[in-house]
Amino acid sequence: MLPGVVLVGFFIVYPIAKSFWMSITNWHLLKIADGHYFVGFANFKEFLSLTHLKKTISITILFEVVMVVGTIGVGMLIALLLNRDFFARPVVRGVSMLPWAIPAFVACKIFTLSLNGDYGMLAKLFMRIFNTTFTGYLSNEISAFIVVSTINIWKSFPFVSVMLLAALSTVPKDLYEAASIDGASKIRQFFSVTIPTIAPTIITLVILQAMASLRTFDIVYLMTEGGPNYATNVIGNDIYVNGFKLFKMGMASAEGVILFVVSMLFVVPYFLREGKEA
Amino acid sequence: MVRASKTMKSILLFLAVVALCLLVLVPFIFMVSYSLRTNAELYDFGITLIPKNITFSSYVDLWKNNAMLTTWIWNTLYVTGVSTLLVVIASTMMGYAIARFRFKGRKGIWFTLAMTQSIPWVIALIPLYMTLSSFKMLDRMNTVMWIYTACFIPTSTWLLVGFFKKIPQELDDAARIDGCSNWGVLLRIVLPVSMNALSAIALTAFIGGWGDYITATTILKSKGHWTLPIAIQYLKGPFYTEWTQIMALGTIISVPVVILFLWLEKYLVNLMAGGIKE
Repeated sequence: MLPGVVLVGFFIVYPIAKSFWMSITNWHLLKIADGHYFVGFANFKEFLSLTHLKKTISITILFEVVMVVGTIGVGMLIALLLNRDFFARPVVRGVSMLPWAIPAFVACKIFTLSLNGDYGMLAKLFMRIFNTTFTGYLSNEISAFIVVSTINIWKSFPFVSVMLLAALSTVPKDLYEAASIDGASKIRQFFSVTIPTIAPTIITLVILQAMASLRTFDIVYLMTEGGPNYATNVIGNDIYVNGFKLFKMGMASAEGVILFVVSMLFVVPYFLREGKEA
Repeated sequence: MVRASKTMKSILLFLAVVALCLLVLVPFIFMVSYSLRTNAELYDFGITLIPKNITFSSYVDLWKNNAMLTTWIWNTLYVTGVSTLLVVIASTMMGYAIARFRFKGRKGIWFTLAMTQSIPWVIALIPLYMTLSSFKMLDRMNTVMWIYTACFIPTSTWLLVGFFKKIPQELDDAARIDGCSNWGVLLRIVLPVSMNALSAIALTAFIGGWGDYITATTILKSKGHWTLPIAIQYLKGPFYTEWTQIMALGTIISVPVVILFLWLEKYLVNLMAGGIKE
């Protein structure tokens, strides 16, 4: 018990507390020798005056929406498919969950190469299908965002599918029978029987996925580092780049504090729903 | 007529399953396909999934050009393996304590655990980096190992509390009447029925550590301490990027997690589904 508390305390809780302190002092990685002193809200001011601030915020929000809708949409389709009976279902379920296991950095390498204009198989396939010569998938603002979100969705839908699959198996069969006796079509059944029954799970998943997409930026960082022209610059990536690439630790901490407050918007409702257990 | 539409349906279902498998597997297929060719063949051919001359030269070159590859593999195994073991031990103890005993600060710990699993990790990373640097703990493999341990304890404990609560209290009581201590109950009664859940926990911790790039690259700087995710980023030839070798290393990195995942996936699904079926 105690060791776990100490570990989590030292490596997670203490740093978060410290980030609040750092956000109001002038930490700069290259100026550690100068010491650090209180600068009030200067870091926050610096952050708020960033020229790409607006873009970062809107990209983060867009990414949130795309991720929540995308993962739950794809996850639902696949959960519905896996919920049916067919040959070798357990194997297919295992295989379809594989993106969960594959390291993000490996996936990024594969996609970077496959979308490369010279020797990428995906790039060449698209060239042939759409009869175009376009190859700059990561240097065009729109396509870079699409690529990054697609990989993120590809990586995160298995978790959603598992949760939805579990929820789908709790829907009582006789509800469907009753509905079909009443003459409801399959699609009607889905919206009037399935969705209401698993609604609690869906809401939980929306909150979970919203938290997760605020958190993840490794795929963004590895594919584009937030570029081109900040088109994929989600806030997590921005913090990391400011802190570890530009060494503006103080400002990055201020950003972190803001992100902390924003993530509370999701954490608190999640708590109210799930945290009662204790 | 009814029969015909039934065959149609099963054909459609079959097609959907195939499409799902393709969606998931295409990147893997690309990766293996790329890794089995020479650099020259990367440029020459368009969309050829199966290379004309299958060769393992990229794997051989990978080993020849990187004298430290074995070290990197050992580093990764060490960091991920030990942290997985520690996560399982610590979260079992914490989970059991939280699920079964009422003690002071229990709510606080539960609250902290839930918070730490939902807060974006990057917020903690910057202050943690500063702290570690003042303790001279940067660039050590053990540091990364402890960080992984701390990072995966919250989620694991959270999942295990839910699981332990479902084990009937009567089992514990019976054992206690027979003279078992608290530890005895945990080791002799609870652990044997929890093996599946524990392997699921181990799986998530292992996947998490194995797939992490951001933390590793932030902490580990000197080449001898690198883990595989850092190594794969720097795998470049003298004149151009050695894509086939990168794909070969990607395949090597993916194989262990894929095997582990396909083996233990059912336990993970069961553990997570347990949270929904109230």
